[in-house]
Amino acid sequence: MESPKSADPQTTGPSGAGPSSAGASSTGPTSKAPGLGGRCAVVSALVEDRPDLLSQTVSLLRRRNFTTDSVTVGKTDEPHIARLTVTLEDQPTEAQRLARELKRLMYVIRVEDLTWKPAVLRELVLIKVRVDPASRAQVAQLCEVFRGRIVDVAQETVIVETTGDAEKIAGFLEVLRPFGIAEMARTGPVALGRANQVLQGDGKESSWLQRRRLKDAQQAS
Amino acid sequence: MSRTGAQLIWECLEREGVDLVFGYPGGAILPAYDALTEYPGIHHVLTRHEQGATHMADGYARASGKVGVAIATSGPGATNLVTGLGTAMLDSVPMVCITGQVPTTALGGDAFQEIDIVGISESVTKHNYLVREVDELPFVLKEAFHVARSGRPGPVLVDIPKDVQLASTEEQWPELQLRLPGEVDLDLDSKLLDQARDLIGAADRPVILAGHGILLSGAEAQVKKLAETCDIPVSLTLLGKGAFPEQHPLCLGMMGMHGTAASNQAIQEADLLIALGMRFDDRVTGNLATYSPHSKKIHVDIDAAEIGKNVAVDVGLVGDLAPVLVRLLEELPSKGHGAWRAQIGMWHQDADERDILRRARRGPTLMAAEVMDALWRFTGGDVINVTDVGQHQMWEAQYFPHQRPGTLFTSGGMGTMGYAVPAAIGVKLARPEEEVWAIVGDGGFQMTMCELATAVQEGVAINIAIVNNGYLGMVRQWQELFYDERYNQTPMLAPDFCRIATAFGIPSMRVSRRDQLEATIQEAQAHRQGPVLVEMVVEQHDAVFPMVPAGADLDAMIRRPRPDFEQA
Repeated sequence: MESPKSADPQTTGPSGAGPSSAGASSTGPTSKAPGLGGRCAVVSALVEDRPDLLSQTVSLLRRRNFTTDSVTVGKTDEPHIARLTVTLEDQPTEAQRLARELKRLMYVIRVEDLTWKPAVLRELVLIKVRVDPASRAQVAQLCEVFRGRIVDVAQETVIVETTGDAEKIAGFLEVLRPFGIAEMARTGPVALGRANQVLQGDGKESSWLQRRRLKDAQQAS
Repeated sequence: MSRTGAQLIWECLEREGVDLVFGYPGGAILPAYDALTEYPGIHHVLTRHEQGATHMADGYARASGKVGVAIATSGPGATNLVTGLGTAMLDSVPMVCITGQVPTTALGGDAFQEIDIVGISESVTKHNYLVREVDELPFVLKEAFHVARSGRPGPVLVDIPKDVQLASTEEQWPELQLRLPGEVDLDLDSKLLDQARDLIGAADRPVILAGHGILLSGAEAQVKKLAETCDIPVSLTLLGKGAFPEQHPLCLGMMGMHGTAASNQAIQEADLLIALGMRFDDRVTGNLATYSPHSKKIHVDIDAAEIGKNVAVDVGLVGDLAPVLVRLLEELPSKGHGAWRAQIGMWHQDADERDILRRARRGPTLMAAEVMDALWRFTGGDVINVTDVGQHQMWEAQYFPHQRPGTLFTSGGMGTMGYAVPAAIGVKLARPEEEVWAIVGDGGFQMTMCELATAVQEGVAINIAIVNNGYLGMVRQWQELFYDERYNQTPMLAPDFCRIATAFGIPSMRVSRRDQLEATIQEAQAHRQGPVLVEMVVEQHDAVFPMVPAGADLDAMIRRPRPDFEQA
């Protein structure tokens, strides 16, 4: 069994079959099953990238009584199609209900419950750490171990950037905390199923998307 | 050819086959109203309140099977739609509401009569739209109608800023293949059908739970065939009334909180529930933990999110009920359930002995149950009832058997008081050849009685029966049973309803004696030119029985006590 962290694409490539890395071993036990292991519900969806997408989604989550940990939306390589990732902390059993409810939204193309599936889950974090000339080097060293990067340097602070799953980020924060964390920002997790399974549309499109495509075609000609 | 956004609205309605809309004008929707004069094929019913417009559109949609349309202006006009949208949402009624909005240039600045109705209505619509440019309008409107009537029907709101209505466009009607992402593919797994057949074949104590979906799908014939082929008793939800003939020997009557004892006991004792187009609402199940504990469950619904939502099922079939049942019936062997039927017969008999109708006729005052029974007998039973919400709604459901589909309309899911009178106007406009009764309590009537003026102005010949017990009766009943008889804020002063009717120019009569019921009902029926109002003065302290207290076990019914009611 491999740990999810050991399959980080930075070290092992997209197939996720590489050996354990140093970064993983320092963030805690690696006894989890492949995939996300059901710690939190993770539901991913391919959606039409409409202006009302986020508000309609959040409204659904609220009125259907989900306690949501994070909602992220980002564009995909296909024009006007976005990917939505919703996670519910500590509620893996809610994933199926969440998937069913999301399917009712008319801009949701396909839904995938990744909770128990082999998947890669990552979150980007920016952490502003308090430093003095002496501790700056220590922070830089820790960044190497955790594969973080210093992306901003000032007299009294540095901003550290890292990506990872919740456990790795928690581990990193733990070692940075003694220096003093001035502020931080997290993107919320995004996820993709591993290997060859790909979430694809089934040709159904709203009038909104059809109109966008018409406009694109007009502009191209 | 260039057209304005306002013209596009009406053109779209014409293209969708709409010839009747309900609405109320105002500043932000004025361009649309101004353009309406160019479209004589569309009749506009001016309501007295926007809520009335939504309930009329709702009643019209339920009775016609078409999409109901309501129109309002921005701000308060739009917020007044919310109750009607919620009513339609919870009962799966296809409806399109069009609202005016302040110009796009003023959006977000708290302009006069600006309100974020798209934000407000998100949770009471199947989908909603804010149209930001006129070129979008043909796409959005076409899609709105499609969304409203496809799959599980529901209401859609389209918010159109004033400048979008005024702007012109060359945009043609799009040739759209509308198969929206959220739509469910309805191809069935034949393995699931086999599993369902096996469960039906193995069951000794099956019950069909017949819901609104049967009526929406037009699956009444298939349900009847299923019941008769396999000798399965049928229990109805409130909105399922009419889906199966209630005088059929297999019919158990309504289920749930005020359902028949036979229904609820059969459900609790059953070894198979076949749930058809119903959603295991809490008013139907009572305590979920003890609901029908011995049964396997088959659930057929067009909305995948309903399968397993409240009750775990053994076989879930997502699909349109009529074709699903056609396939299920293809290879279904016939069966008999004599012992099960005999057991149910005994429960029926016990309930009959406790029935208020057996005893009521001795007392001095009219019982509401008698009124329902009289309406059923003296109208011949073959009329359309539109009921409001409360005790009278339950008494109607208990004492007025509906033999054919589409003869009872009521706000089931949302329980919207004030629904009956405006909805009945919409129902009558959809089915003018039918006799339509609005049955309403004295409380609910006072909520929307302004729509009497609409009925008069449009010459809508509905018969309004006010069942007047001087209380918010259902709330009073809960206070009696669960709040130590503290009748706080439930006794209600009512105006002289007959004089109210007179003020609107509506003929009216009042009846409080049982020997006058027949003559009064027949007198009401004789008025065919416009609305007529009958006030029925009934016993003030009666309660609806049987009753399963909210959240209690379904078989923990409070029955009507055996001692004579009148002594209490």
